[in-house]
Amino acid sequence: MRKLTALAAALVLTASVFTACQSQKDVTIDVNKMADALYGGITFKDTLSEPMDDAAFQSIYDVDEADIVAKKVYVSSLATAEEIAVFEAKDTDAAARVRKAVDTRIENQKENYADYNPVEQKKLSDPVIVEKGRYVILCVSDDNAAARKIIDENTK
Amino acid sequence: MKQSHIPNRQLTRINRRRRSLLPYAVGAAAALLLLVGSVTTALLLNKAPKGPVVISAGESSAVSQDVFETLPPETTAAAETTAATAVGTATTAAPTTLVPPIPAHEPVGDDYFKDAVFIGDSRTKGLQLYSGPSAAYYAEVSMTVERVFSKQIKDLGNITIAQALEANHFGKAYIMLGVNELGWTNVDGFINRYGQVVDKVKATQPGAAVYIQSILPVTAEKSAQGDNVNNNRINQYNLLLQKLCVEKGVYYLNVREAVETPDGALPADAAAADGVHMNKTYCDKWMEYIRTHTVS
Repeated sequence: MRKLTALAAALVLTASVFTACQSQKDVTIDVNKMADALYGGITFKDTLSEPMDDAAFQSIYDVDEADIVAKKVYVSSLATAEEIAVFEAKDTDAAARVRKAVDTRIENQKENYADYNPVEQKKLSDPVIVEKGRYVILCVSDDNAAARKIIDENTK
Repeated sequence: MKQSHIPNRQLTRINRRRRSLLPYAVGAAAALLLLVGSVTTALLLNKAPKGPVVISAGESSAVSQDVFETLPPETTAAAETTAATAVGTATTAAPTTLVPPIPAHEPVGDDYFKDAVFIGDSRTKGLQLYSGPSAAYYAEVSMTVERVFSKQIKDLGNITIAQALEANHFGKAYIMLGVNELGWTNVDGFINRYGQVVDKVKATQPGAAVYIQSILPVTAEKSAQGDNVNNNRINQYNLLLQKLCVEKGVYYLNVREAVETPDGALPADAAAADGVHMNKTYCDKWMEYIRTHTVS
C-alpha cells in the first residue's frame, strides 16, 4: 500500500513538473507591450529612451541579431543604471544565449558604476531578470516588486 | 600784485577777463578728456580679434595670443553658492569665447560621419546611444584624459583608446573630455594630458579634422551644489581648451551653444536625473550642432 501511495505521488509530481515546463514553453509575450508597461508602471529616477539604432544597441548588448525575433530596450541617460530590456528569442537555446548577454550587460554596468556612481550598485546587485520560454526580460529599477507584478500581468 | 593796491576799475577789468576766460578753460578741459577717452578706447579695440577667423588644422592660428591675457578672474564654488539666490537663478558669469566660432551651415548627412570617431566619456556614450550616426565611438563611462591611455575598453576588444587610434584611421575626430576632471587640483596637468590626447590623435590620424568640443554645462541646480562640478569651473576649463586649440592647431567646436540657457547653464529639463547627463532631446540638439558646424 505504501509503495502504491509513493508511486502515485511520484506520478503526480512528475505530471505537475511536466505541465509547468510545458506552460513556460507556451508563454506568449508582446515584447513592445511588456517593455512599455514596465516603462509606464515604474517610477524611474532617470529619463529612459530607446537607443538610436541597432548599432547603438549592439554597443551595449553582445547579442547575435540572428537569435532575436523581437526586442525593445529603454536605456538611461547614463546618470543611473536604470534600464528595461525585453527580448523574444527564436528558440529556447537562443534565449539562453540572450540571457548570457543580459548577465554580461549587468556585470559591465557594475564595473562602470563601481566608482562612477556607487549608489547604483544596489540596483545592479539585484536586477529583475525573468526568463519565460523564449523570452528574456530585464528591469533595473528601484522597484523590483512592481516590475515583477507587471511582468506577471503581461505574460499569457 | 596785492589786490588792495589795485584800483577798483582795474580790479573790475581783471575780474571781467577771468570770467570771460572761464568758458574757454572748461572747453579745453573737456576736449582733453575726450582725447584721452578716444585714445584709451582705440587701444582697447586693437586688442580684440578682427572679424571671423577660421583656424585650420596644421596651420598657425590668426588669433593673437594677446586675447588670452585677459582671462576672467576665478570665482570659487563657495562664492558662487553664496551669490546664488535661488535654484535655477544662475549667477555664473557668461562664458567667454576667445576663439571665433565655426560658421554654421546646412546639416550634413549621416554619410559624413562614416569616417568619424567620437572620443569621450559618458556624455559621448549618451550621444552614441541616443543620437549619434553610424561612426566609431571610443567612449566610456568615467573616461578621462588619463584613461584614454590606460583603460582597456571591452567594446574595443580590451585595448585602450590610444591603442585603438593606432589601429584605425579616421577623417574626423571629435573629442569631449573634462567633466570627470573638474575636481582635479592640477589643472595644468589636465591641459597637458589633454594636449597629449590631441597629439596622439594627430599622429595616428594624419590629415584628419580634429575638433575639441567645449565641455557642456551642467544645470544651475547642480552648479549651485558647491562642489567642483559647476559652470564657473567648466567655463575656465573651456577657456584653457580654446588656448589648447590655438596651440595645437585644431578646431574648437563650441557645442555648448546648442543646449545652454542665456545664463550659461544646462536647462533643468535637459538632465533631470543628475544635472549632468542629458536626455535624448538634448543629445539630439548637440548632434544637430555637430552636423551644422563642420570645416571640411
